[in-house]
Amino acid sequence: MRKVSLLEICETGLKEVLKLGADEAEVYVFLSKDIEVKIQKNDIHVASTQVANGAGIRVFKNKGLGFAGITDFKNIKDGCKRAVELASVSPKDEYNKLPFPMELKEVPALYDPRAEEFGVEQTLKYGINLLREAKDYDPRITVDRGSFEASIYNRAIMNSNGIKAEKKESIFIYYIMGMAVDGSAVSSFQYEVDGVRFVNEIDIKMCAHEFAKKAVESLGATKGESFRGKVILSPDAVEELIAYPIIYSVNANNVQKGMSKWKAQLDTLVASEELTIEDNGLLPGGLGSSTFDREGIPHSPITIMEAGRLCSYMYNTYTATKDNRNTTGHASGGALQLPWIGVTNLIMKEGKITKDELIKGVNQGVLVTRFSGFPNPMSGEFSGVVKGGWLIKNGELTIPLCETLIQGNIYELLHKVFGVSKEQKKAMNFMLPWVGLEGVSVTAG
Amino acid sequence: MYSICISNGESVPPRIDMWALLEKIIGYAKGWTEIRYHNKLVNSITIKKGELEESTSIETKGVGIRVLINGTFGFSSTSSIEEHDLKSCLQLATIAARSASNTKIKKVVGLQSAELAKGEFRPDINDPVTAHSLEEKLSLVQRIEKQVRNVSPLIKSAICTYIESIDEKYILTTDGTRAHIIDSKPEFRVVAVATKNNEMQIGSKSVGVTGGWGDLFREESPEELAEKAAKIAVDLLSAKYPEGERAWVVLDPGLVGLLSHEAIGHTVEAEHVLAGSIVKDKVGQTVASELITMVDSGPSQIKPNAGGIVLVDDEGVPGQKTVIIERGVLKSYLHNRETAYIFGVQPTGNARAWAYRDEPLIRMRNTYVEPGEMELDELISGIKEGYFLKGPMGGQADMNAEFMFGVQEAYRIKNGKIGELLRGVTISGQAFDVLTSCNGISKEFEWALGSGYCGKMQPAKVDAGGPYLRCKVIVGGEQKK
Repeated sequence: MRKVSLLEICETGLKEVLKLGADEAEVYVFLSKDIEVKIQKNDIHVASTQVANGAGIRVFKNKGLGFAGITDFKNIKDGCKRAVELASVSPKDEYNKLPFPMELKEVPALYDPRAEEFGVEQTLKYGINLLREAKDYDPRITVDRGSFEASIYNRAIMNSNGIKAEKKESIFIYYIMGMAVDGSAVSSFQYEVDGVRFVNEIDIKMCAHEFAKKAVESLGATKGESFRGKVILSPDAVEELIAYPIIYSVNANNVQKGMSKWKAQLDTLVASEELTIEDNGLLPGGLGSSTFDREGIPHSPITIMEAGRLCSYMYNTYTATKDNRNTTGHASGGALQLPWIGVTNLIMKEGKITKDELIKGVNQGVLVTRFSGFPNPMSGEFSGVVKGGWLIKNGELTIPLCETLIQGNIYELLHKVFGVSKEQKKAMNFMLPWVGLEGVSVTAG
Repeated sequence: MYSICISNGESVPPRIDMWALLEKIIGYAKGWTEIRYHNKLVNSITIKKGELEESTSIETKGVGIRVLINGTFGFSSTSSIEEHDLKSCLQLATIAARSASNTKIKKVVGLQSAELAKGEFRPDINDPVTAHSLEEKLSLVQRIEKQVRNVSPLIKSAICTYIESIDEKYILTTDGTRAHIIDSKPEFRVVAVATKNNEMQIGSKSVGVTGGWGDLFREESPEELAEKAAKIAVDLLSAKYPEGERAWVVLDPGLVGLLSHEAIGHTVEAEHVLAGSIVKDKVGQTVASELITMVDSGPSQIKPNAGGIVLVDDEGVPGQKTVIIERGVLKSYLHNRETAYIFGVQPTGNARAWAYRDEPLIRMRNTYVEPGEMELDELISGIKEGYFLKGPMGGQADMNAEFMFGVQEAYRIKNGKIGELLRGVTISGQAFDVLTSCNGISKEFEWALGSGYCGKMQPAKVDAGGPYLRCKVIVGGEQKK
């Protein structure tokens, strides 16, 4: 037995699959050290420390695809055998090919050496603070669960076309969820989550207080009014109702498979001129940033939409080959998944007025703090419950709402934006403002 | 730089006696300890619009160790099954527990005793999936995906997926569990995408069971699933939106299952109860119509092969039938051994972990409402103005039991007759109020969510179902002004 690096494991796997008859192959490997403290029912629940690893072996044989994932590196040759077996019986697809090396540029601020010092004790301190800050904000807060996790993540990739890359990153992720309880009144369930790369960026207090504020404010919620009109979406609601359908619709695979509303819509107006959206996988310190994507290619920052005009889809190598163009470096996923297409750091540009001015301009409307529902990203139809919402009357927030549903078609409503706030909220790999939409159906139970 | 050890040359590690290895490791334990070896193999094939989207085989294999020291849990895991790595894993879990115990406010006073499982456990499997070749499975998925696209020229795209999950576990605890569990859960999904005049609608059908190839298509053939998915997508293209209102509805077994799991089931998971869910201190109180008896069960009840069968949970407690609500009265929460001790009741076998890296959490298994005595036709004919709702399209609920479910097919009911199909329908309400409003339950019973997964920090394979049920809910829809 001897110690080997992640690139050596990639090399072992690559040699094996090629020996077994693969025409092209890629081995992607990760190894992470994770220390986590979980909170449950207003107390520390469990502390854990783990080293996780895995390898994904992607193989093309006679243009047929096979993929195997393993968690035990000693079994890598077994994984190689399974990947080749799968590829051997798969149908031929002429677009199946792997990328060639491109110059990789270092993305700054993705690794904090101080993360190496993190042990259970230090992680516990942050976990306890998360709980205390929420409880201290208001005694009615009850924390259902939460977590603070410190991870160091190493990944490496090699393919048969000469791609060879390795990178180490640090990440701290923390979340808290629960409700406020006042006698027999239980607020709507609320949560807050964030993640950062550097120890000095960790803001437990902000996370805990934001959660607690939303939970307390939704106590005493009551039924509002039914009408068709204006709603203002918070950044959390923008993520659910606007960002995810857009990410789906600009995924080149969905476009090519006839599952995107925005097929053949490049350079046309698909939304209000108030909306400009970018995706930047090279953003220094970004949670979605990395030096290379899941195929070993550098991310290309793209403008998805500029002043409502659709500018770009997101591509990996497969979809780029089909469209006879270059990949945008949006291959995404972990070692135990086939590379798929995913967003990196999504930024919706700020607007011209403040959030308060946005509210002041509404005579009758609803402020949606959180949206509970499943927008259909293909058709754009959505119908769901407003969580922690407020009825707006004559430019003022009046009563917190419960049992209130909103309904509409997001692709139609994107043309009816009446305002975008100057303020933006960063949560994980999203940077989003408040957005006002007109023509939404609001149903009070 | 991190580095790991691999053996040089050997592609397959030497076969080991798992019992002997894990017995040796648990012998080093300093306090209550649970050791779980888990090998999860998930094979998956997806065809999308005639092209192979996915053919994967993912094996996650390793050992998770949980210890209870000074009234505090510590957890660690390793993908290695070498003795020295397992000893180190036990040590890391012990250190984590000791450190956390300095800050934990309410210590774990005890774990409830139970008749812990010993022996080998495997569900009834009719024709194991491993007896069928990869080529056969690939060919089925290709054929059905093509069939969907051929149903109508309006079907422009389709997706068909076959997934099989084969699990093997060895669970040992210092207080006596010695369980070897083997499980098999295949599932099959079909999605049709219909397009007309730049409008897109989807129809989907799926099935998932605990069992084998012979169990998967017992209720409906893949061809029937394909036809139904395509018809739903095409019909929805010409459907209108409902008007939003509170209305009488008949829910199908899928929506009854979703209501049972998502809106009631999560509120009765004991750790949520301790954190202040809506049902805290309500055992013994009437919370629903007396027509309602709701159950969460490890073994399959009423009909075989439910998709969430758990014969032994991940703490070694045998799966069992737990009555949550009996004739409208709240009877039990869902427990692991820790919460059962706090409440002074027997553990219900609900502690489950998704993979070796995960610690067991309280999770549901197969959650359902028991069937009643009415015919479906009677339920519908008793509604003057309302809706017949079929097919859940995802759902969310809060600890106050307020829920939101998407509905695939919603038909207007007028004067007791089923009318036009409507689109984009969501229902909402407070689940206990909805169950209190229930005034009719059918004789029919179906498991309906066997292809579903519950997401609560980690996935879990669950099933849910029930009869048809008549009740009052809020139907989300379009407001004219």
